[in-house]
Amino acid sequence: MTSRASAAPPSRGFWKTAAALLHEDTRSPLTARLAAAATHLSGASRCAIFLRDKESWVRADPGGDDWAPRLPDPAARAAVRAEGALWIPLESEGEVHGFLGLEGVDETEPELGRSLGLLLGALLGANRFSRMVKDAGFELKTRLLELESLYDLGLSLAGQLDLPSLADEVLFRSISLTDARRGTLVLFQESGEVLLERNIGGEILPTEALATWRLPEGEAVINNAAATAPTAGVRSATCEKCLAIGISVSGRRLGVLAVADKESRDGSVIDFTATDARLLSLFANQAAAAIETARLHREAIEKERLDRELELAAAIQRELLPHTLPIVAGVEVAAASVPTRQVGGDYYDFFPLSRGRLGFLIADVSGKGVPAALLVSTVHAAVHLQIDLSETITDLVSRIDRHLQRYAAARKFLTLFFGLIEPDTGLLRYVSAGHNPALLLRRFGGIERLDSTGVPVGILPNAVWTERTVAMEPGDLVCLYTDGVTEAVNEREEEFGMERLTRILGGASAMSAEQVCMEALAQVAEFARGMPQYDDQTMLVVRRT
Amino acid sequence: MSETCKVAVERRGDVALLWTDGYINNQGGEEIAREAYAQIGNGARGLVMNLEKTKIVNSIGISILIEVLEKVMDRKGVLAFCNLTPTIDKTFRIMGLAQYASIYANEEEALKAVSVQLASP
Amino acid sequence: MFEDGGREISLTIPIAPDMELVATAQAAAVGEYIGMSRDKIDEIKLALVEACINAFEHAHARDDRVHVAFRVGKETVGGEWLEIEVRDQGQGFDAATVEAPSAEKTFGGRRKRGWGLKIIKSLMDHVEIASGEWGTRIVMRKYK
Repeated sequence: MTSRASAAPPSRGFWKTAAALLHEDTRSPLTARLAAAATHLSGASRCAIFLRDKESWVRADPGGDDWAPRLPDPAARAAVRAEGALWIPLESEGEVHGFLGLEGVDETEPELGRSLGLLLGALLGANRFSRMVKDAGFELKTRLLELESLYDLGLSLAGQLDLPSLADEVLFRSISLTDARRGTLVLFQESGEVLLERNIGGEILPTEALATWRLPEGEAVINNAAATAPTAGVRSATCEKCLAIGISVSGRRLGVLAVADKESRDGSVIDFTATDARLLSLFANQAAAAIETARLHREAIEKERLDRELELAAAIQRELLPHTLPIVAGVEVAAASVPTRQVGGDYYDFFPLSRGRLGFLIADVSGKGVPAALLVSTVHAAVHLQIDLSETITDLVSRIDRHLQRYAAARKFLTLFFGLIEPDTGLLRYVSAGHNPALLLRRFGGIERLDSTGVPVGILPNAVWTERTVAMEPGDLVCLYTDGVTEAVNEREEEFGMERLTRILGGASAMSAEQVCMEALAQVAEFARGMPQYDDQTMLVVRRT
Repeated sequence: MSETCKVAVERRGDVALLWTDGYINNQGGEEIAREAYAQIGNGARGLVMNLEKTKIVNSIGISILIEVLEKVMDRKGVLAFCNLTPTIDKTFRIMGLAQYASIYANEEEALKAVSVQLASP
Repeated sequence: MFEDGGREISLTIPIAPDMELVATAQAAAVGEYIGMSRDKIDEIKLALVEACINAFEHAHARDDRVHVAFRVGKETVGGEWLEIEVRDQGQGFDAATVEAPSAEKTFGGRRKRGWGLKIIKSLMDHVEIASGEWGTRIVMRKYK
């Protein structure tokens, strides 16, 4: 290194000229001015300026057509000669900001070279520094804005339980913060189906594409060439630049948030930046929590509504059961129904008829909720409307079947047992449409099964049922029941079953109809021992006295 | 069982068209009012309500429609109904809606009539 | 075989939103059964809706229920009819003093209720109302 003290400093003219040149046209880029000044001051025929661009050195001055040298030694800290030119490092504050290459320069003025190096280095350094300050200022402002916005967003999201409004809010905020023109938010159900979708400025991607978009968790993906190049496997044809992030909570993908076409102040479309990506990520986290809360809230309300509907429906069905038992000479009747909390569906009724006869009916309707309640009320209506017009029991059941086919809202069916007893003769006529076998207990022992005589009602068009007759002696008793009795389960998941019921009835010949009914149901209750049941337990007992 | 009446809306210039779908009870009435007021606030001066997909209403729902009608009248606007079932038509008349709102058989007639009324001074 | 006349179809509905629609579904089925026209069935449904919401409004407690009974019959002169009785055990009202609403009073006025009875009377052929502390009973009939 030449000692500075021994060289003559550049003349004052040098500095004056340099200043004039550099300030001549401040509108042109700094590198152009530096190149012009260097050429002029050094008398070089041509010059080149190289500046650092991340990891490499690139030509930074504009006039590079006629001379395109390569930078010889980026590590050089002193002037070197190479490729027919003098290369001067441009440094300040111990850092090399660039290199100046001068062709056709006389080596006899090393001070000139060094002065130029110092001058240009200082200017470059100052320029970089001022840019850094501006960036930092901008960064600071952005950070402040971010924090404010996140705070605002947090406030506005908190307590927003209405999912569509929340989605709108999240989308709107995302767009304004990234200066985007458009945005799309899609939320998914646990099943993967779309829960809701919101767009501002039009769809960025078709929903199905969004559903399969393989976005990395927690990271926003920038694609500033969205129109032509695919992002994570999906290509967008409807926007130029796009930024997207998957919204997740506890590892579960809730949805996708995408914004498109970032706008500069003059209205042109510019690239999304890393800052935008970070902002969006931060938002997505806040949004995820709020969205999940709103979703759970909505689910809870829906479940409440359904529960309430089931309760109401069950209430309606139960009210259809007779409030009093008929008093008919020669017969003793008893009936009881043990309801489950929500599911109704069991129906029974009595029909005192002329000539001392008694008709009785038990039915089990499939399904639950209001449609099932409507079906039970339809059956009730059907029987009451049709009974006086029917010639025989099979006629009645056919009429009920036809009535149901016409007036029942949904394809539902029911099992049914209709019996008609003539107390003076003891004749019991019956039709069982797919119902559980009724049990006929004989006074002096013995139990007979009265099996089904046809298919359930409402299953087949033009179904036909058979009527059977059995003679009941005084003291004989017939017991009708629904699935809820024989299918009651205990904690070992055993069913109560026909055998147990048969055994109970076997010991019941001395009991009244009422006692039989109560005893049977009590034993079912004891068997089940508090286990929740899913079907009403209904029993109807008719004894010929 | 509880399905709120759904309302679809389309704006055509000065006139807003509303299509109802379902039972107009108090909830349904409020849903309709909400959409109607939004349109009115947005400058609509004529409202046509097409009740083709409504088969049942109750007096509370109707009284809410009366409130909407009053608001429309306040702003010197026009309200028309169309595609009513004979029973709903009868019930509207009983409650006096026909005095200040007009009832038409179909949407085309209703729209035409409303446009004419809006145009005249 | 069964030759006994005039049975009743009963229905009890809890007091909750849209429960009146359960009653109207039943009314429609019965109306169709006796071959009533679509328009008349619609009128019955609307009248029944009003009767039900009227009953809902009188309710004392949450557990209150509204009882609806449907009857069909035939008269030599009037022909076939469908009759509906709506009963509640609420606080009742004095039917005579219920101010008959009018369109004039409704528009611009605060009175937008009280239309139920007027609608029922207009849509059904014959209406009887009894009300007191024990509750309210509306019996309405329409000929086919």
